[in-house]
Amino acid sequence: MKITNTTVFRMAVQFAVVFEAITIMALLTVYYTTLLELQNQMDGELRLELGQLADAYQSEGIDKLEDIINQREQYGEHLRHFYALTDSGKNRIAGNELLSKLLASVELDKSEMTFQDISSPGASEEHENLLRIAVMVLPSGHHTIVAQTQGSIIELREHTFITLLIAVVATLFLALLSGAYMGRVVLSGVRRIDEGMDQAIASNFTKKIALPAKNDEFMSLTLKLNLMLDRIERLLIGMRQVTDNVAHDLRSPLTRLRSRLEVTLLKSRSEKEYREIMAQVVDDAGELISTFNALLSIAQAEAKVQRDDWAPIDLSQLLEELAELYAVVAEDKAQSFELIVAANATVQGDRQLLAQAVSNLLENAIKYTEARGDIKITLTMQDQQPVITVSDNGPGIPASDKERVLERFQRLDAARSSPGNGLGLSLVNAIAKLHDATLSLNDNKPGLRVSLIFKRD
Amino acid sequence: MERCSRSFDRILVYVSTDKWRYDIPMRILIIEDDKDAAAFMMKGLSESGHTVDHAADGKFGLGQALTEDYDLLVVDRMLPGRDGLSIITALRAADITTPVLILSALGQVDDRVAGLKAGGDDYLTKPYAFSELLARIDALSRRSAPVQEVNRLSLADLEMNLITHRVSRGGVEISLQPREFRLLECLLRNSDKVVTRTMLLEKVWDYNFDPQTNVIDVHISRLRNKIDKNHNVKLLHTIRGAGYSLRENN
Repeated sequence: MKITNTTVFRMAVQFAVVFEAITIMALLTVYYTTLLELQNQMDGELRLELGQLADAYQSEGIDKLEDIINQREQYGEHLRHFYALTDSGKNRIAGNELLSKLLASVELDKSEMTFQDISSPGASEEHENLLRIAVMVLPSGHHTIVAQTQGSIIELREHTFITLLIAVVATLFLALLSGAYMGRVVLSGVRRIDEGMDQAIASNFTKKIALPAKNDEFMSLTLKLNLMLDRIERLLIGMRQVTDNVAHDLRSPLTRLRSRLEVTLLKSRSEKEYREIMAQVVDDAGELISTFNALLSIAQAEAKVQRDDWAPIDLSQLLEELAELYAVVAEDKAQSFELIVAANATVQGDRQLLAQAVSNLLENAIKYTEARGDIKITLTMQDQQPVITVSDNGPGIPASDKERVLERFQRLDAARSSPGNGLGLSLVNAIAKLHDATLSLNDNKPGLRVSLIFKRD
Repeated sequence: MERCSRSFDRILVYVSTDKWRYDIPMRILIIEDDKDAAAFMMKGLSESGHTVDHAADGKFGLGQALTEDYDLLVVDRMLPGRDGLSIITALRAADITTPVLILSALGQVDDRVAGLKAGGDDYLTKPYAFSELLARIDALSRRSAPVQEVNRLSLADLEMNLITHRVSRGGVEISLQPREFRLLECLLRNSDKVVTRTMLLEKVWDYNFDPQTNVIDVHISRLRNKIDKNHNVKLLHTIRGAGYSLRENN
């Protein structure tokens, strides 16, 4: 991705263009108002001078006017003022010679005074070749001429132009620079996410987006995206495992069921025999259904999200109920069954699923522990975290197999002879994860100690 | 289809030899779009003595349920074009209180809660055992259930007082744990009917998961020890392939 293709850069350029337009408009407004003001000022001065000269003529006559004009022409040069007096035929009588010549090109108004801009080709300094000229026709037909160079206006024009140029170039430069900088910052954030997403998709969502160094909006966006990727990954894995496992574990019992029926149909049999076979088939189907249901429960627990409407579950009460349900089963095996429960431990959760998890743990403990063994279930608070522990003194699980038994359909060799589908602990694990709890398997020396460690409520 | 219904026949035979009884024939409407599944159900239920109608879509089913007088409705949750729950809602809105058993392939706790909330009386997740369906249909039968709240339940010489929580058989008091009391109460309320293990776990313990062990059997055998031991007439029977039944005659 190029910086010039980023939204931020484009916005910076767009802002620059708008800003340029505003700057140009503002400067032009200032220029024209100043220009107008300068011209008014200049015309005022010229009018004043002509007025003074007219007064002199009226009170003291044309000769005195000649003197004054010659005098002013002599001293007025440094003020950039020029003076001349011509007769009615526009021939110079006194004052500036050039000015008298320029009079020929002035179109005289009918009014008392005529103002006009005129350029003087003969001027040596190029800045002073533009003149503002004011002509007054005296009653005697003489023309009194006063002129002023327009140097200040030209300067104003040039200054305005240079200011404009600097402003336009500077803002454009700054806009491009800041646009590029912002674009780069945004781009690096977006690029990280963009590349991270590519990798995530390519890796089947196992890879996640690298976190930015700074805790900014990209950090929060990345965290959320990673959360989403994580969830997609879990769903994908769950789905794949379910299909794998359905194929793996339902295929053989289905085959068994089918062959049982096919073999039965090979020849005719007595009604009693049919009944027995049918009873076996129903049992087979029942087993299939229960495996299927267990798989679905796991998939559902894994795909579920914590819900807002989860109620607080009183773990103490739940454990007492479950202990009451299972104590008799342990008693039937002459196992001791001990329950120690801390009061008022609650977690947000799904009562049915939590009950299912604890009952799976209890069923495992009772099933795999020998007659006259010891089963113990406790609920304790550790660092304000409720911990449910089911321990037994049965064969336990070798340390090397602890990870494996949490996977679906994994049964230890020692357990293969007892009924079960190898899904119990997987379901407990899925339910624990759903509740943000940790399932930990420990050596009870001898036996197994399984703990469900919940987050503090 | 032909083959399927033949094998279905035999499952029924297998179940029915184990003392299933249907003294109370009911008129049942099945609203289910899966024609094969409906055909099984109709066959099984009519062979059990019930009169069964079938509606293959929700609109027709709702019409039937609104105009005809049924003892029980079996409604599939997912019907073409509409959720089975909307049928129940419509029925309840029309003040029709016929018991409804919801069948569903959606088995999550939330789905069950939604089903019962909509006015369903029981919820059965597919795939189910036919014996489970029969037992639940039986339990929902309005004609056999006592309408008014009773203070006493009894069967033969077994008596239960729901106020004082005293239980006696042949005048001899039996001491029961609170949970045993509720277990017996559930069986007594459904006496002469079959109650499955799942139903007991649901009604007595309020859990609806599948226990992998014989936990209910253990509780039943303890209860049986207390009520049937030393009595010639046994009341608590195990119905093979289905569950338990509290009844006087074998």
